[in-house]
Amino acid sequence: MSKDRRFIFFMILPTVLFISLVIFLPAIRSIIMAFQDYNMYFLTKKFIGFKNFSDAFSDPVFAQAMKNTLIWTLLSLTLQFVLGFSLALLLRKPFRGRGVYTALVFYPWAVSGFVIGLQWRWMFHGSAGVINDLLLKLGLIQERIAFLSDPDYALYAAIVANVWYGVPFFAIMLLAALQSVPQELYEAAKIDGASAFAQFVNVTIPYVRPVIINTTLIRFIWIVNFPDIIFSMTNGGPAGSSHILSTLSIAKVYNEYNYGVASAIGVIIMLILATYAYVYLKINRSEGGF
Amino acid sequence: MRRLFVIACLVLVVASIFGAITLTMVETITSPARTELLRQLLNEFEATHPGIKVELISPPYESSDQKLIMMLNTKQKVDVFEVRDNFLAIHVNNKNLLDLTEFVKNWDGWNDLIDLAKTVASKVEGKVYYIPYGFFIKALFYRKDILEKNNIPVPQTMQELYEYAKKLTNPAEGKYGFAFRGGPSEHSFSEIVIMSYVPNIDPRPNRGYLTTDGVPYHDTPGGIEGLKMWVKLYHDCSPKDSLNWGWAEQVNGFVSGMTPFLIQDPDTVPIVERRLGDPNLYGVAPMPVGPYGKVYLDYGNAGWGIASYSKYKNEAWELIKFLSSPEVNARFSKFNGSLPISKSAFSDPYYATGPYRAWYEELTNPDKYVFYERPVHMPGFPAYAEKHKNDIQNILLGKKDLYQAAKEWADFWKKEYGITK
Repeated sequence: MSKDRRFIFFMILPTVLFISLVIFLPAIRSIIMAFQDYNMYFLTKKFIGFKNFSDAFSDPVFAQAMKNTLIWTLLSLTLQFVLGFSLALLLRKPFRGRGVYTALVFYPWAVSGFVIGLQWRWMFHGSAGVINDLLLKLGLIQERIAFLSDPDYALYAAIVANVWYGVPFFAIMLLAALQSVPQELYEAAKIDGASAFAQFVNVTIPYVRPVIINTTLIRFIWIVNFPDIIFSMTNGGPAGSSHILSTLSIAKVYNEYNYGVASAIGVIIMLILATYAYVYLKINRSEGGF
Repeated sequence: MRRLFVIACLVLVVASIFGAITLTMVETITSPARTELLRQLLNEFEATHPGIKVELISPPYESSDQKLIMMLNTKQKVDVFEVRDNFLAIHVNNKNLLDLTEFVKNWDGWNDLIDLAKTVASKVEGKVYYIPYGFFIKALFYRKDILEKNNIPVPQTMQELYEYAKKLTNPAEGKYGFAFRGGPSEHSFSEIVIMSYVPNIDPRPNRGYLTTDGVPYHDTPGGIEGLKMWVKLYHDCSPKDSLNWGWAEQVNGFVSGMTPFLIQDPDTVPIVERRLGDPNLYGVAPMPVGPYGKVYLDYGNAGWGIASYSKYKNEAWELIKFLSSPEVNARFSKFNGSLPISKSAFSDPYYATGPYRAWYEELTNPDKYVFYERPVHMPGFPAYAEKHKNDIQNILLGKKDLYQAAKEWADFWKKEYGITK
């Protein structure tokens, strides 16, 4: 090892150690727990192979949570992205009061997910909620809907709240990307006779594409791992119909005191996300996205 | 200069070792107002016990139990902690609770405890592991004003409760009869109604949920009939979204007048009274009884225990004795809304009149109000509670067969108890 290399090694070492300590150690710990009989009643911590996994799979709520995770993530992500992108396009051109407006639009991003869940829980309330009131007055419904106590609505109510929460993230990131597109490209396109739509498809999109890929990748992972809103709005109910994997994992700890099964679900989430990230990056690399 | 500093440090260390003892106390049913009262009581304790300081740790309620269990399992400094009935078994299994049997032998206060307090304190293998500070027993709250307006008497039986609640229900006007509980901990409400239809629940400790025939009550004819009554109470008398109601929604429904019948614990009295602003608007009656003239009530309770690894066991016991003395316990109970633990407290007019009269009735009529213990100490209980909640919600949504659910619950407990028949 050359002198430089040794120097670099020792400079990096503290960071590596620190990250290992706060990130990898808990992750490894939870993987170990997934194979232990780790229940608050009996802290035997005996190794029991894959029993926690088979217990998780045989829980009727698990399949539902798996399906819900998919709906929750894809629907939230798509809507957040479409609305966020639209918002960024609207905010791109200067207009009077843009600063204030931008700040207002970005407000949800600054609020904790748990608090947002509580706000929306109140708005979706079956008998006193403002949403029921509005729908009634608009004549869209004849009687109040118990949004959070009806398995047909509960998950979607939480998705509405999540979309509201996540739009500003895409707006912020994409607005920054849009503002970095060189004006000359549009002028050149105009001279070539490109329509507004053609400019959007051929200039804007390719230019902001890396940002789109990165933000959707990150956001996907965040949404899968974002139990706050569901936890505070429905706590997975009624009858487990609005659980996603991460809220189910929390429920296993808080309602059943079963850390082993909770960790097993955590490991399953980790595997899903790792596979997703790998495939996603592979596809985009092969298309020359980066 | 440096030498002086070193000496100063040494003096400090020595003083802190031989000087005042600091007891660490952890509460788990945390609320800011209760923490304040507890602190005040601890200050009085410190004033009368020079040399002992008490540090109070009050984790936020939502995660307090998990936090306490983690603290105990990692042997962090804890001397006295709040023991809730449903965690007693966990603490004992993990060997984190000190056996207080020897301490109790030399304590006068023991004989002044009501029988229920003595029973729960020594329910694990006959050893005293904690001293309860109060009980939570359910009773029926009703809105006097609404019942009078509709000319409806206070129900004496479950059948009457259903009929009267149904009369009050008019969904078009947003009026319902019953503050149904379908959300967290629903089992401690549904089971009161369901079990009141079973003629022969075994009230002995360690027999929770079993009948005197030694089988789970769930799929006996009475259990099925009771379950049907509970389902009827939802469909005919309760708001749709009560399927997922917790405590806050129930109380809101009651206070707003939407649901004039409410089953709740005594700690709901102060809140209901404060929010209604007029004590004449509501009353509390003993729980309606089932067709066999009785109702089975479980008793929630919590108390104070000592960590098995505490270095200051004697001082910790002094603190528990102080908190359990009739005078201090009465002050704490009045604030906390729990029923006091000592016989002398029940002659207090505060508990002999007004809303608390209902609980006094319940505690003194053992033929009508039969106390039993849910098997919260058994490892399967949390999973059962979660399953029960999901199954009941599915039954109410029409997604699960009632008989199937009852059979599954019975099978669950047969397995837990190792019953083969």
